[in-house]
Amino acid sequence: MIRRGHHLAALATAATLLLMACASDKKATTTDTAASGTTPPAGSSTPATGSSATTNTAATTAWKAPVDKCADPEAAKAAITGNLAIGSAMPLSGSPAVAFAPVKDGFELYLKYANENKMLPGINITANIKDDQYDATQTPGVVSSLIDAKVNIFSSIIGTPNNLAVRDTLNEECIPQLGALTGNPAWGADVAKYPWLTGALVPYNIESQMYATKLKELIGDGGTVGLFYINTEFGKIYADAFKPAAEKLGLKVVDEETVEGTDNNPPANQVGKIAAQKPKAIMAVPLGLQCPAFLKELANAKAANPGWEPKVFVTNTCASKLFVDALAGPAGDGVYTSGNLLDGSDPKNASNPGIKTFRGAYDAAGLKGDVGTTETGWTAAEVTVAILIKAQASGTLSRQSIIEAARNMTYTPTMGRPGTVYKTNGEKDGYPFQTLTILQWNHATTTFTEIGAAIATFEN
Amino acid sequence: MPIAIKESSVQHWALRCVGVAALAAVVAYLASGAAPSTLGKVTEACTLAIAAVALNLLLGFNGQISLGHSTFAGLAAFVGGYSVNAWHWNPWLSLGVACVVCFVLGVTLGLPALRLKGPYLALVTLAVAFVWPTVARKFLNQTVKASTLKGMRLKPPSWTGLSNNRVDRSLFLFWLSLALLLVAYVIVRNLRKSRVGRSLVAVRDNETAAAVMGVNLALTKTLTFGISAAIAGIAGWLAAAQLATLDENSFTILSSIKYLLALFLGGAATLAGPVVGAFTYFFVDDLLKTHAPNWHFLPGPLSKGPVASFLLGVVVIVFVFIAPYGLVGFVKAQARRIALLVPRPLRQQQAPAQGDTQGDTERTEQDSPAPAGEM
Repeated sequence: MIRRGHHLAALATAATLLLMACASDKKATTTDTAASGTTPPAGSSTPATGSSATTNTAATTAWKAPVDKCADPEAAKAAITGNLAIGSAMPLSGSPAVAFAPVKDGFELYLKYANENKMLPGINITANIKDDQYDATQTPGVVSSLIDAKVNIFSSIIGTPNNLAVRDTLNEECIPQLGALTGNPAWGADVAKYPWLTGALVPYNIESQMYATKLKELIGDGGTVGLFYINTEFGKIYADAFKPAAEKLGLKVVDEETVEGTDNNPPANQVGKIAAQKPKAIMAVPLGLQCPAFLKELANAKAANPGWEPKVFVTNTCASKLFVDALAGPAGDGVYTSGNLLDGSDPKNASNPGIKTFRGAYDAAGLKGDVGTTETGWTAAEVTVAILIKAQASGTLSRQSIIEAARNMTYTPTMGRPGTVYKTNGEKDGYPFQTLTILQWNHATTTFTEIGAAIATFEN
Repeated sequence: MPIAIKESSVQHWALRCVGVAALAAVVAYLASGAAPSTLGKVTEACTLAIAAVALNLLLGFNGQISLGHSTFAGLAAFVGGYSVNAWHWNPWLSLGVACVVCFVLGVTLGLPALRLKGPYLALVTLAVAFVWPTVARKFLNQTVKASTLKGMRLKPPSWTGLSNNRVDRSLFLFWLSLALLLVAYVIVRNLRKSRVGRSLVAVRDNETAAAVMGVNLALTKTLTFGISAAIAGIAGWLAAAQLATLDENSFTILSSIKYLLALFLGGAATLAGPVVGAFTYFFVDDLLKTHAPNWHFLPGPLSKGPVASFLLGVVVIVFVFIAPYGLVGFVKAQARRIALLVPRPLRQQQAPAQGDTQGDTERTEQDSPAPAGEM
């Protein structure tokens, strides 16, 4: 009898696991990395497309990596020849993989392109990307196995907790951890303590302040704002940056509502409370599937309150077409967000050389994943290769020269929106990207429209 | 016709020695030549095994289901991480405190078990597992004031002669995890083979009969919950010793499900089952995550995409059908075709000492798939 119970429990457990594996996008709710091509990193190297990319000219001598603190200083200085292996940890299985798998495709696609075009003379670049299922407890094991597999550098590890989980190890080993694919302000805040890690996205606190500035333009002095955010570190970064910025600009936050990170229910109650205040604008920081859920609830609230048409801003982690179009439908129409990459699926960008090259490679490879997310991976690789080219140009391609190149570089990405630039300056500026363009989603045309010029006031 | 081997005979001891020697050889090989990442994987598998051993005590031997063991592990990890980083405690002290805290929480959680059974108890523990991430998040926000809690990244003590680099640290954690797994195993084994162990099984099989025979149901159930929680705490502490960071997602309901899977894969209510199951689960999962994305021979949408978790689910279901008593039960059944272990006659077993209960405790496993005892 007991045994039979065990069998049933075992079957139920196994079935649960299977269901969880198949329940594709649920866990994407808790991911805080840009899934869309509108936000992601940018940067590219020399002739990414043989056309418009602008290489930096900053001298690599400006900032020096503290190799004397490395576990093995000689290994950090050793020249890399023949093959250069880039390691990364990304969610390739489990639910978050549905949203993020195309990043890997784009990343590998660009490296193939770079090798074919011999962008790094004498060096073949390979990618060794392993699956951590967006689970930060798995990332150290994945990274450890990649170190044992002799990868030379890491790039584009997805997720704040995932990057944090390996930051100490990679710093001790002095292995460059380039382009962390999250916008946590921690990346770049303390270059002296974590010299081997660079970020790739515009820091969330900067993005939040940009929204406050744009809101002031749209609703004027004394305008009322409802604030909605996910009750996690991610949401708090935005909220903590937005509130003082709004106050300074003369905006009034009339209501503040939160949703728990583990809550998958539509935020009807929270949106209802905000709607009761009828603010002129709403600053929303949902995450993953909470993005379309929030937009749908807001549409319901607007229907219940005729005449109330607030300006709605969502973070650029929500600016995926999966969320604002496929899942939110008409409820996503008119929502404001931001981005720094051109939309590769927008016909008006088709003539852009960077987009042309990307789309050519994407179509030739027969890829089917979300174009914007694939673009993120492509651009992340493009930036990484740009750094490698600069490091090689310094005389010796080594882990030391690579991180020094990454921390002393100015570079315009091939698919970046006007004004988007990768710019670092040693310890003085640890944030590569600090410029964004405000965008508005148009449901009828399924495109993002640029609202004004790029906001570059936060660039150092 | 299988070969008959008498229990405790020379052949039986020889077989046992060969098994132990093979295990020792594997450990020695790993310790002497394996890469740090391989040692790290073994450490992670050991952590899972300890949690599964804890669950086995509660579910396998005592019949109380728990979906909340991830909470105990998470709590112990947080106690370890916070006390070492914020209060600068000795890590070993933090291990003891973490186990005590988990024991107290386990006993507290065991109280509803006095009134609830089966799915109702499972629901209570499920609720605990769901509440833990929110509690952890509040703790991080209000006390730690950071998005993550630092783990211990335990350094090898100076007496080991190991230095604090990645290679030596992984070797130290490898030995530490094996030692802690051994401790957890021995605790459960000795409990199982004692008078207390017989009470556990009696409560599992028939509570009324156990009560009539003089078993204190309340004490047995709550203490089992407490001890099981404390052992799960060892697993959590070990995870904190290995990891650089911890947060609310480090120990979710998914961790509890993993513990259950490891237990049932290996075989519940067997001593070796949880260990075998944990290692099997961990390395099958690892294999699939490493290789499945490149298996382009798979049909249709499976040939490209997030397929590893799906395949793992399929593998587990297939395992459950092929080996309904777990891998240990399956291997035993196959081994019986080759060799049959003949138990010592009852008189001979009782003769050496009245207090030696090993023989008859094995036989209290009424529905054991291995009627001839363990080899």
